Amino acid sequence: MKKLLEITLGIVTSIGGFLEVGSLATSAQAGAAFGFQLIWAIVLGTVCLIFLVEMSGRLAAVSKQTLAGAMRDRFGYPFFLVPLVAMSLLALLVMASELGGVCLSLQLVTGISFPWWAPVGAFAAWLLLWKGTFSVVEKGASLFGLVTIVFVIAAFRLHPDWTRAAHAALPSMPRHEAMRYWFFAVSILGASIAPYLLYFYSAGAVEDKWNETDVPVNRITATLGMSFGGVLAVAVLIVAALVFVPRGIRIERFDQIALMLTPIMGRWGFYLFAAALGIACFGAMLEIALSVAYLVAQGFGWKWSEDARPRDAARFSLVYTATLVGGALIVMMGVDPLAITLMSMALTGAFLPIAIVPFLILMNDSRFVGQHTNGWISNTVVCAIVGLAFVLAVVSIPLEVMGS
Amino acid sequence: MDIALVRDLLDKQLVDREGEPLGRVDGIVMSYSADAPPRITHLELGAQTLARRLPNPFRSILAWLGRRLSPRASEPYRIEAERIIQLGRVIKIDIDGARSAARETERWVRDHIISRIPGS
Repeated sequence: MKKLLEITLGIVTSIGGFLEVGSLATSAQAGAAFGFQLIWAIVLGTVCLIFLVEMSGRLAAVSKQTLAGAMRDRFGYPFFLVPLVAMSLLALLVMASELGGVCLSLQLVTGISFPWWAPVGAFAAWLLLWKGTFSVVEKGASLFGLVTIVFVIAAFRLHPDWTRAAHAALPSMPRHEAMRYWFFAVSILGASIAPYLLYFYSAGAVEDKWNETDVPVNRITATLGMSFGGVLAVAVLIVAALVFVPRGIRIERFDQIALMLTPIMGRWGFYLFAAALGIACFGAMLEIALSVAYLVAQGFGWKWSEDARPRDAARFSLVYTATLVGGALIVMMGVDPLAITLMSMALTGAFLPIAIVPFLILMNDSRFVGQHTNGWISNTVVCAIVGLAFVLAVVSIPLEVMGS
Repeated sequence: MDIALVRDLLDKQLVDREGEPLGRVDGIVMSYSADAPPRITHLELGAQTLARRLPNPFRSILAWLGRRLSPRASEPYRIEAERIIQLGRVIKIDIDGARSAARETERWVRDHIISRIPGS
Protein backbone atom coordinates (compact mmCIF):
# COMPACT_ATOMS: atom_id res chain seq x y z
CA MET A 1 0.00 0.00 0.00
CA LYS A 2 2.81 2.36 0.91
CA LYS A 3 4.55 1.47 -2.37
CA LEU A 4 1.36 2.17 -4.30
CA LEU A 5 1.16 5.57 -2.67
CA GLU A 6 4.78 6.23 -3.64
CA ILE A 7 4.06 5.41 -7.28
CA THR A 8 1.06 7.70 -7.35
CA LEU A 9 3.15 10.40 -5.79
CA GLY A 10 5.88 9.94 -8.37
CA ILE A 11 3.41 10.28 -11.21
CA VAL A 12 1.91 13.36 -9.68
CA THR A 13 5.43 14.72 -9.17
CA SER A 14 6.24 14.55 -12.84
CA ILE A 15 3.01 16.25 -13.82
CA GLY A 16 4.18 19.17 -11.74
CA GLY A 17 7.78 18.83 -12.81
CA PHE A 18 7.67 17.96 -16.48
CA LEU A 19 5.37 20.48 -18.07
CA GLU A 20 6.84 23.91 -17.43
CA VAL A 21 7.36 26.97 -19.54
CA GLY A 22 10.07 25.29 -21.61
CA SER A 23 7.94 22.36 -22.74
CA LEU A 24 4.89 24.57 -23.08
CA ALA A 25 6.52 27.24 -25.21
CA THR A 26 8.55 24.90 -27.41
CA SER A 27 5.65 22.48 -27.99
CA ALA A 28 3.21 25.30 -28.72
CA GLN A 29 5.59 27.03 -31.13
CA ALA A 30 6.45 23.79 -32.87
CA GLY A 31 2.78 22.94 -33.25
CA ALA A 32 1.94 26.36 -34.63
CA ALA A 33 4.80 26.30 -37.13
CA PHE A 34 4.94 22.66 -38.24
CA GLY A 35 1.63 21.06 -37.25
CA PHE A 36 2.00 17.57 -35.80
CA GLN A 37 5.35 16.99 -37.50
CA LEU A 38 7.60 17.49 -34.44
CA ILE A 39 5.79 15.08 -32.10
CA TRP A 40 8.75 12.72 -32.54
CA ALA A 41 11.03 15.19 -30.71
CA ILE A 42 8.78 15.07 -27.64
CA VAL A 43 8.67 11.26 -27.83
CA LEU A 44 12.48 10.98 -28.04
CA GLY A 45 12.96 13.49 -25.23
CA THR A 46 10.49 11.67 -23.01
CA VAL A 47 12.06 8.26 -23.63
CA CYS A 48 15.50 9.68 -22.80
CA LEU A 49 14.17 11.36 -19.66
CA ILE A 50 12.51 8.14 -18.46
CA PHE A 51 15.87 6.35 -18.63
CA LEU A 52 17.75 9.22 -16.97
CA VAL A 53 15.30 9.77 -14.13
CA GLU A 54 15.22 6.03 -13.45
CA MET A 55 19.04 6.07 -13.31
CA SER A 56 19.27 8.99 -10.91
CA GLY A 57 16.75 7.34 -8.59
CA ARG A 58 18.64 4.03 -8.80
CA LEU A 59 21.96 5.75 -8.06
CA ALA A 60 20.48 7.40 -4.96
CA ALA A 61 18.72 4.25 -3.76
CA VAL A 62 21.75 1.94 -4.13
CA SER A 63 24.70 4.20 -3.32
CA LYS A 64 22.87 6.56 -0.89
CA GLN A 65 24.70 9.28 -2.80
CA THR A 66 23.19 12.12 -4.71
CA LEU A 67 24.13 12.70 -8.32
CA ALA A 68 26.18 15.81 -7.53
CA GLY A 69 28.05 14.14 -4.68
CA ALA A 70 28.79 11.02 -6.72
CA MET A 71 30.08 13.16 -9.62
CA ARG A 72 32.66 14.87 -7.44
CA ASP A 73 33.53 11.56 -5.78
CA ARG A 74 34.12 9.75 -9.02
CA PHE A 75 35.65 12.41 -11.26
CA GLY A 76 37.37 14.67 -8.77
CA TYR A 77 37.04 18.35 -8.12
CA PRO A 78 38.59 19.93 -11.24
CA PHE A 79 36.35 17.95 -13.59
CA PHE A 80 33.31 18.47 -11.37
CA LEU A 81 33.64 22.24 -11.86
CA VAL A 82 32.71 21.91 -15.55
CA PRO A 83 29.13 20.62 -15.05
CA LEU A 84 28.85 22.76 -11.92
CA VAL A 85 29.54 26.02 -13.74
CA ALA A 86 27.66 25.06 -16.91
CA MET A 87 24.58 23.85 -15.05
CA SER A 88 24.49 26.85 -12.70
CA LEU A 89 24.63 29.38 -15.54
CA LEU A 90 22.06 27.47 -17.52
CA ALA A 91 19.84 27.18 -14.45
CA LEU A 92 19.86 30.98 -14.11
CA LEU A 93 18.57 31.33 -17.67
CA VAL A 94 15.94 28.65 -17.17
CA MET A 95 14.97 30.24 -13.86
CA ALA A 96 14.45 33.53 -15.70
CA SER A 97 12.19 31.87 -18.25
CA GLU A 98 10.13 30.07 -15.58
CA LEU A 99 9.74 33.30 -13.64
CA GLY A 100 8.80 34.96 -16.92
CA GLY A 101 6.05 32.33 -17.21
CA VAL A 102 4.78 33.08 -13.71
CA CYS A 103 4.81 36.82 -14.45
CA LEU A 104 2.98 36.35 -17.73
CA SER A 105 0.30 34.27 -16.03
CA LEU A 106 -0.21 37.01 -13.42
CA GLN A 107 -0.27 39.63 -16.16
CA LEU A 108 -2.96 37.70 -18.03
CA VAL A 109 -5.16 37.62 -14.96
CA THR A 110 -4.54 41.11 -13.60
CA GLY A 111 -3.54 43.17 -16.64
CA ILE A 112 -0.52 44.58 -14.77
CA SER A 113 2.53 44.32 -17.02
CA PHE A 114 4.91 41.58 -16.28
CA PRO A 115 8.37 42.79 -15.24
CA TRP A 116 6.65 44.18 -12.15
CA TRP A 117 5.61 40.70 -11.14
CA ALA A 118 9.19 39.35 -11.12
CA PRO A 119 10.05 40.37 -7.53
CA VAL A 120 6.64 39.14 -6.33
CA GLY A 121 6.99 35.73 -7.97
CA ALA A 122 10.59 35.28 -6.85
CA PHE A 123 9.73 36.33 -3.30
CA ALA A 124 6.79 33.92 -3.10
CA ALA A 125 8.99 31.03 -4.28
CA TRP A 126 11.73 32.02 -1.85
CA LEU A 127 9.27 32.21 1.06
CA LEU A 128 8.00 28.72 0.33
CA LEU A 129 11.56 27.33 0.28
CA TRP A 130 12.54 29.32 3.37
CA LYS A 131 9.60 28.17 5.51
CA GLY A 132 8.49 24.94 3.80
CA THR A 133 9.83 21.38 3.89
CA PHE A 134 10.76 19.10 1.00
CA SER A 135 7.44 17.29 1.12
CA VAL A 136 5.48 20.57 1.07
CA VAL A 137 7.39 21.62 -2.06
CA GLU A 138 7.03 18.20 -3.69
CA LYS A 139 3.35 17.57 -2.94
CA GLY A 140 2.22 21.17 -3.31
CA ALA A 141 3.80 21.62 -6.73
CA SER A 142 2.48 18.27 -7.88
CA LEU A 143 -1.11 18.56 -6.70
CA PHE A 144 -1.58 22.06 -8.05
CA GLY A 145 0.25 20.96 -11.20
CA LEU A 146 -2.67 18.64 -11.98
CA VAL A 147 -4.38 21.64 -13.56
CA THR A 148 -2.09 21.14 -16.59
CA ILE A 149 -4.27 18.12 -17.51
CA VAL A 150 -6.52 20.76 -19.07
CA PHE A 151 -4.32 20.51 -22.20
CA VAL A 152 -5.13 16.81 -22.58
CA ILE A 153 -8.85 17.55 -22.26
CA ALA A 154 -8.54 20.33 -24.83
CA ALA A 155 -6.68 18.04 -27.25
CA PHE A 156 -9.46 15.41 -27.00
CA ARG A 157 -12.20 17.99 -27.51
CA LEU A 158 -10.60 19.03 -30.79
CA HIS A 159 -10.95 15.45 -32.15
CA PRO A 160 -7.52 15.38 -33.80
CA ASP A 161 -6.63 12.88 -36.51
CA TRP A 162 -4.91 10.37 -34.24
CA THR A 163 -3.38 8.32 -37.09
CA ARG A 164 -1.63 11.41 -38.36
CA ALA A 165 -0.42 12.18 -34.84
CA ALA A 166 0.87 8.62 -34.46
CA HIS A 167 2.75 8.91 -37.77
CA ALA A 168 4.42 12.09 -36.53
CA ALA A 169 5.89 10.12 -33.63
CA LEU A 170 8.50 8.93 -36.13
CA PRO A 171 11.09 11.51 -37.23
CA SER A 172 10.63 13.03 -40.67
CA MET A 173 12.47 15.62 -42.77
CA PRO A 174 11.12 19.19 -42.81
CA ARG A 175 9.14 20.34 -45.83
CA HIS A 176 9.90 24.03 -45.30
CA GLU A 177 12.11 26.26 -43.07
CA ALA A 178 14.59 23.47 -42.40
CA MET A 179 16.78 25.43 -39.95
CA ARG A 180 13.82 26.56 -37.85
CA TYR A 181 12.55 22.99 -37.78
CA TRP A 182 15.78 21.61 -36.38
CA PHE A 183 16.10 24.48 -33.92
CA PHE A 184 12.61 23.67 -32.59
CA ALA A 185 13.54 19.99 -32.45
CA VAL A 186 16.58 20.66 -30.25
CA SER A 187 14.63 23.13 -28.11
CA ILE A 188 12.02 20.45 -27.45
CA LEU A 189 14.71 17.90 -26.61
CA GLY A 190 16.39 20.38 -24.26
CA ALA A 191 13.06 21.24 -22.65
CA SER A 192 12.21 17.57 -22.07
CA ILE A 193 15.63 16.37 -20.90
CA ALA A 194 16.11 18.94 -18.15
CA PRO A 195 19.32 18.04 -16.29
CA TYR A 196 18.22 19.96 -13.19
CA LEU A 197 15.39 17.45 -12.79
CA LEU A 198 17.99 14.70 -12.25
CA TYR A 199 19.79 16.54 -9.45
CA PHE A 200 16.41 17.30 -7.89
CA TYR A 201 15.15 13.73 -8.16
CA SER A 202 18.28 12.09 -6.74
CA ALA A 203 18.46 14.56 -3.85
CA GLY A 204 14.78 13.92 -3.18
CA ALA A 205 15.39 10.17 -3.11
CA VAL A 206 18.20 10.62 -0.57
CA GLU A 207 16.08 13.08 1.42
CA ASP A 208 13.29 10.46 1.46
CA LYS A 209 15.86 7.77 2.53
CA TRP A 210 15.38 5.31 -0.35
CA ASN A 211 17.25 1.98 -0.32
CA GLU A 212 17.74 -0.96 -2.66
CA THR A 213 14.18 -2.21 -2.18
CA ASP A 214 12.97 0.98 -3.87
CA VAL A 215 14.66 0.11 -7.19
CA PRO A 216 11.59 -1.59 -8.79
CA VAL A 217 9.21 1.11 -7.55
CA ASN A 218 11.57 3.74 -8.89
CA ARG A 219 11.42 2.10 -12.31
CA ILE A 220 7.63 2.23 -12.41
CA THR A 221 7.54 5.78 -11.09
CA ALA A 222 10.00 7.07 -13.66
CA THR A 223 8.27 5.33 -16.56
CA LEU A 224 4.67 6.21 -15.74
CA GLY A 225 5.47 9.66 -14.40
CA MET A 226 7.63 10.89 -17.25
CA SER A 227 5.34 9.31 -19.87
CA PHE A 228 2.50 11.28 -18.42
CA GLY A 229 4.56 14.44 -18.68
CA GLY A 230 5.30 13.57 -22.31
CA VAL A 231 1.58 13.09 -22.99
CA LEU A 232 0.95 16.59 -21.64
CA ALA A 233 3.59 18.09 -23.94
CA VAL A 234 2.17 16.21 -26.96
CA ALA A 235 -1.30 17.51 -26.02
CA VAL A 236 0.01 21.10 -26.03
CA LEU A 237 1.56 20.55 -29.45
CA ILE A 238 -1.65 19.04 -30.85
CA VAL A 239 -3.81 21.86 -29.49
CA ALA A 240 -1.40 24.48 -30.86
CA ALA A 241 -1.35 22.78 -34.27
CA LEU A 242 -5.13 22.60 -34.51
CA VAL A 243 -5.75 26.09 -33.14
CA PHE A 244 -2.99 28.14 -34.74
CA VAL A 245 -2.22 26.47 -38.09
CA PRO A 246 -5.73 26.85 -39.64
CA ARG A 247 -5.82 30.50 -38.55
CA GLY A 248 -2.37 31.13 -40.02
CA ILE A 249 -1.03 32.44 -36.71
CA ARG A 250 2.75 32.38 -36.21
CA ILE A 251 3.78 32.64 -32.60
CA GLU A 252 6.18 35.47 -32.02
CA ARG A 253 5.16 36.57 -28.55
CA PHE A 254 4.28 34.75 -25.38
CA ASP A 255 0.80 36.22 -25.01
CA GLN A 256 -0.20 34.64 -28.33
CA ILE A 257 0.31 31.20 -26.78
CA ALA A 258 -2.02 32.28 -23.98
CA LEU A 259 -4.96 32.25 -26.37
CA MET A 260 -4.56 28.61 -27.37
CA LEU A 261 -7.35 27.30 -25.13
CA THR A 262 -9.80 30.16 -25.74
CA PRO A 263 -11.31 28.82 -29.00
CA ILE A 264 -12.04 25.51 -27.25
CA MET A 265 -13.14 26.56 -23.78
CA GLY A 266 -13.94 30.24 -24.14
CA ARG A 267 -13.25 32.54 -21.24
CA TRP A 268 -12.61 29.57 -18.97
CA GLY A 269 -9.91 28.44 -21.36
CA PHE A 270 -8.14 31.73 -20.93
CA TYR A 271 -8.14 31.49 -17.13
CA LEU A 272 -7.27 27.80 -17.11
CA PHE A 273 -4.29 28.52 -19.36
CA ALA A 274 -3.13 31.28 -17.03
CA ALA A 275 -3.51 28.97 -14.02
CA ALA A 276 -1.73 26.04 -15.71
CA LEU A 277 1.12 28.27 -16.87
CA GLY A 278 1.54 30.04 -13.53
CA ILE A 279 1.42 26.94 -11.38
CA ALA A 280 3.62 24.80 -13.62
CA CYS A 281 6.26 27.53 -13.86
CA PHE A 282 6.12 28.25 -10.15
CA GLY A 283 6.71 24.57 -9.40
CA ALA A 284 9.63 24.53 -11.83
CA MET A 285 11.13 27.62 -10.13
CA LEU A 286 11.14 25.77 -6.79
CA GLU A 287 12.76 22.73 -8.38
CA ILE A 288 15.44 24.74 -10.18
CA ALA A 289 16.37 26.83 -7.13
CA LEU A 290 16.68 23.67 -5.04
CA SER A 291 18.61 21.83 -7.76
CA VAL A 292 21.30 24.50 -7.90
CA ALA A 293 21.53 24.52 -4.11
CA TYR A 294 21.79 20.71 -4.06
CA LEU A 295 24.44 20.70 -6.78
CA VAL A 296 26.67 23.26 -5.06
CA ALA A 297 26.18 22.11 -1.47
CA GLN A 298 26.61 18.41 -2.22
CA GLY A 299 29.59 19.06 -4.47
CA PHE A 300 31.40 20.96 -1.74
CA GLY A 301 30.24 18.73 1.09
CA TRP A 302 28.19 21.36 2.90
CA LYS A 303 25.16 20.56 5.00
CA TRP A 304 22.11 20.41 2.74
CA SER A 305 18.47 19.71 3.42
CA GLU A 306 15.27 21.44 2.48
CA ASP A 307 13.81 20.07 5.73
CA ALA A 308 16.40 21.81 7.93
CA ARG A 309 15.86 25.36 9.11
CA PRO A 310 17.74 27.87 6.92
CA ARG A 311 20.17 28.73 9.75
CA ASP A 312 21.10 25.05 10.05
CA ALA A 313 22.01 24.79 6.37
CA ALA A 314 23.20 28.35 5.85
CA ARG A 315 25.23 28.10 2.65
CA PHE A 316 22.63 25.81 1.05
CA SER A 317 19.90 28.38 1.77
CA LEU A 318 22.14 31.17 0.50
CA VAL A 319 22.55 29.41 -2.85
CA TYR A 320 18.82 28.97 -3.56
CA THR A 321 18.20 32.55 -2.44
CA ALA A 322 20.87 33.84 -4.82
CA THR A 323 19.51 31.74 -7.69
CA LEU A 324 16.03 33.23 -7.25
CA VAL A 325 17.42 36.77 -7.01
CA GLY A 326 19.53 36.21 -10.14
CA GLY A 327 16.52 34.95 -12.09
CA ALA A 328 14.43 37.91 -10.96
CA LEU A 329 17.14 40.38 -12.05
CA ILE A 330 17.26 38.90 -15.55
CA VAL A 331 13.47 39.17 -15.91
CA MET A 332 13.46 42.74 -14.58
CA MET A 333 16.02 43.74 -17.21
CA GLY A 334 13.12 43.25 -19.59
CA VAL A 335 14.46 40.56 -21.92
CA ASP A 336 11.94 38.90 -24.22
CA PRO A 337 10.71 35.87 -22.22
CA LEU A 338 9.89 33.77 -25.27
CA ALA A 339 13.33 34.31 -26.79
CA ILE A 340 15.11 33.50 -23.54
CA THR A 341 13.02 30.36 -23.09
CA LEU A 342 13.73 29.00 -26.57
CA MET A 343 17.41 29.86 -26.33
CA SER A 344 17.91 28.37 -22.86
CA MET A 345 16.19 25.14 -23.96
CA ALA A 346 18.40 24.89 -27.07
CA LEU A 347 21.52 25.64 -24.98
CA THR A 348 20.45 22.85 -22.61
CA GLY A 349 20.57 20.56 -25.64
CA ALA A 350 24.12 21.70 -26.36
CA PHE A 351 25.20 21.15 -22.74
CA LEU A 352 23.58 17.72 -22.40
CA PRO A 353 26.75 15.69 -23.11
CA ILE A 354 28.60 17.48 -20.28
CA ALA A 355 25.84 16.60 -17.84
CA ILE A 356 24.93 13.16 -19.10
CA VAL A 357 28.14 11.37 -20.18
CA PRO A 358 29.77 11.45 -16.70
CA PHE A 359 26.43 10.33 -15.29
CA LEU A 360 26.42 7.32 -17.62
CA ILE A 361 29.95 6.41 -16.53
CA LEU A 362 28.78 6.48 -12.89
CA MET A 363 25.82 4.25 -13.72
CA ASN A 364 28.19 1.65 -15.21
CA ASP A 365 30.53 1.69 -12.20
CA SER A 366 29.78 -1.11 -9.75
CA ARG A 367 31.51 0.79 -6.95
CA PHE A 368 28.50 3.12 -7.00
CA VAL A 369 25.54 1.03 -8.10
CA GLY A 370 26.75 -2.48 -7.15
CA GLN A 371 24.94 -5.11 -9.18
CA HIS A 372 22.44 -2.51 -10.41
CA THR A 373 24.62 -1.21 -13.26
CA ASN A 374 23.02 -0.06 -16.52
CA GLY A 375 22.10 -2.53 -19.22
CA TRP A 376 23.20 -1.99 -22.81
CA ILE A 377 19.75 -0.78 -23.86
CA SER A 378 19.67 2.21 -21.53
CA ASN A 379 23.30 3.10 -22.35
CA THR A 380 22.64 3.00 -26.08
CA VAL A 381 19.33 4.84 -26.03
CA VAL A 382 20.59 7.67 -23.83
CA CYS A 383 23.85 8.06 -25.81
CA ALA A 384 21.99 8.16 -29.11
CA ILE A 385 19.42 10.76 -28.03
CA VAL A 386 21.94 12.96 -26.23
CA GLY A 387 24.23 12.74 -29.25
CA LEU A 388 21.40 13.76 -31.56
CA ALA A 389 20.47 16.71 -29.32
CA PHE A 390 24.09 17.85 -29.24
CA VAL A 391 24.56 17.69 -33.01
CA LEU A 392 21.28 19.52 -33.63
CA ALA A 393 22.20 22.18 -31.08
CA VAL A 394 25.66 22.80 -32.49
CA VAL A 395 24.28 23.13 -36.01
CA SER A 396 21.10 25.09 -35.36
CA ILE A 397 21.94 27.52 -32.53
CA PRO A 398 24.49 29.62 -34.48
CA LEU A 399 22.12 29.82 -37.46
CA GLU A 400 19.20 30.81 -35.22
CA VAL A 401 21.30 33.51 -33.54
CA MET A 402 22.45 34.88 -36.89
CA GLY A 403 18.92 34.73 -38.28
CA SER A 404 17.29 36.73 -35.48
CA MET B 1 43.20 -2.60 4.15
CA ASP B 2 44.27 -1.25 0.78
CA ILE B 3 43.53 2.39 0.19
CA ALA B 4 43.85 4.18 -3.13
CA LEU B 5 44.50 7.83 -2.35
CA VAL B 6 42.55 9.35 -5.18
CA ARG B 7 39.82 6.73 -5.30
CA ASP B 8 39.14 6.31 -1.58
CA LEU B 9 40.28 9.55 0.05
CA LEU B 10 40.39 12.54 -2.26
CA ASP B 11 37.07 14.39 -2.76
CA LYS B 12 35.20 12.15 -0.29
CA GLN B 13 32.59 13.60 2.06
CA LEU B 14 33.89 14.33 5.59
CA VAL B 15 31.62 14.10 8.61
CA ASP B 16 32.24 14.86 12.28
CA ARG B 17 31.65 12.59 15.30
CA GLU B 18 27.88 13.18 15.06
CA GLY B 19 27.81 12.39 11.33
CA GLU B 20 27.23 16.03 10.37
CA PRO B 21 28.98 17.22 7.18
CA LEU B 22 32.29 19.05 7.48
CA GLY B 23 33.17 19.44 3.81
CA ARG B 24 35.06 17.26 1.39
CA VAL B 25 38.68 16.10 1.28
CA ASP B 26 40.10 18.88 -0.89
CA GLY B 27 43.70 17.78 -0.54
CA ILE B 28 45.95 15.16 1.04
CA VAL B 29 49.21 16.00 2.84
CA MET B 30 52.02 13.46 3.02
CA SER B 31 55.40 13.50 4.64
CA TYR B 32 58.58 11.94 3.36
CA SER B 33 61.74 11.24 5.23
CA ALA B 34 64.90 9.40 4.32
CA ASP B 35 64.50 6.45 6.69
CA ALA B 36 60.73 5.84 6.62
CA PRO B 37 58.15 5.16 3.94
CA PRO B 38 55.92 8.11 2.88
CA ARG B 39 53.02 8.64 5.26
CA ILE B 40 49.70 10.50 5.08
CA THR B 41 49.76 13.11 7.81
CA HIS B 42 46.76 15.36 7.13
CA LEU B 43 43.60 15.85 5.13
CA GLU B 44 43.26 19.39 3.83
CA LEU B 45 40.14 21.52 3.32
CA GLY B 46 39.69 24.99 1.98
CA ALA B 47 39.35 27.31 -0.95
CA GLN B 48 43.11 27.71 -1.35
CA THR B 49 43.60 23.96 -1.62
CA LEU B 50 40.83 23.80 -4.21
CA ALA B 51 42.35 26.68 -6.16
CA ARG B 52 45.72 24.92 -6.29
CA ARG B 53 44.17 21.90 -7.96
CA LEU B 54 43.08 23.89 -11.01
CA PRO B 55 45.16 24.59 -14.09
CA ASN B 56 46.33 28.15 -14.70
CA PRO B 57 45.04 30.82 -15.23
CA PHE B 58 42.15 29.74 -12.97
CA ARG B 59 44.55 28.85 -10.19
CA SER B 60 46.18 32.28 -9.94
CA ILE B 61 42.90 34.15 -10.32
CA LEU B 62 41.15 32.13 -7.62
CA ALA B 63 44.12 32.27 -5.27
CA TRP B 64 44.26 36.07 -5.64
CA LEU B 65 40.52 36.38 -5.17
CA GLY B 66 40.65 34.18 -2.09
CA ARG B 67 43.38 36.30 -0.48
CA ARG B 68 41.44 39.50 -1.19
CA LEU B 69 38.11 38.20 0.05
CA SER B 70 39.14 36.57 3.29
CA PRO B 71 42.75 36.88 4.38
CA ARG B 72 42.01 34.79 7.47
CA ALA B 73 40.56 31.81 5.63
CA SER B 74 43.36 31.77 3.07
CA GLU B 75 45.26 29.16 5.08
CA PRO B 76 43.90 25.69 4.39
CA TYR B 77 42.41 23.80 7.30
CA ARG B 78 44.19 20.56 8.19
CA ILE B 79 42.88 17.48 9.95
CA GLU B 80 45.39 15.00 11.41
CA ALA B 81 45.15 11.62 9.72
CA GLU B 82 45.03 9.96 13.17
CA ARG B 83 41.58 11.44 13.69
CA ILE B 84 40.03 9.35 10.91
CA ILE B 85 37.70 6.90 12.65
CA GLN B 86 35.88 5.44 9.65
CA LEU B 87 36.64 5.12 5.94
CA GLY B 88 33.98 4.41 3.38
CA ARG B 89 31.39 6.29 1.39
CA VAL B 90 31.90 9.06 3.93
CA ILE B 91 34.97 9.63 6.06
CA LYS B 92 34.26 10.07 9.75
CA ILE B 93 36.54 12.32 11.77
CA ASP B 94 36.86 12.38 15.53
CA ILE B 95 36.25 16.10 16.06
CA ASP B 96 33.52 18.37 17.35
CA GLY B 97 32.20 19.88 14.16
CA ALA B 98 30.28 22.68 15.86
CA ARG B 99 33.53 24.32 16.94
CA SER B 100 35.79 23.15 14.15
CA ALA B 101 37.45 25.65 11.81
CA ALA B 102 36.19 23.48 8.92
CA ARG B 103 32.80 25.10 9.44
CA GLU B 104 34.06 28.66 9.74
CA THR B 105 32.54 29.82 6.43
CA GLU B 106 29.24 28.08 7.21
CA ARG B 107 29.13 29.88 10.58
CA TRP B 108 30.05 33.19 8.97
CA VAL B 109 27.25 32.90 6.38
CA ARG B 110 24.83 31.86 9.12
CA ASP B 111 25.70 34.70 11.52
CA HIS B 112 26.18 37.52 9.02
CA ILE B 113 23.56 36.75 6.36
CA ILE B 114 21.03 34.01 7.06
CA SER B 115 20.30 34.86 10.72
CA ARG B 116 19.53 38.43 9.79
CA ILE B 117 16.66 37.35 7.56
CA PRO B 118 13.41 36.86 9.52
CA GLY B 119 12.14 33.32 9.92
CA SER B 120 15.53 31.65 9.60
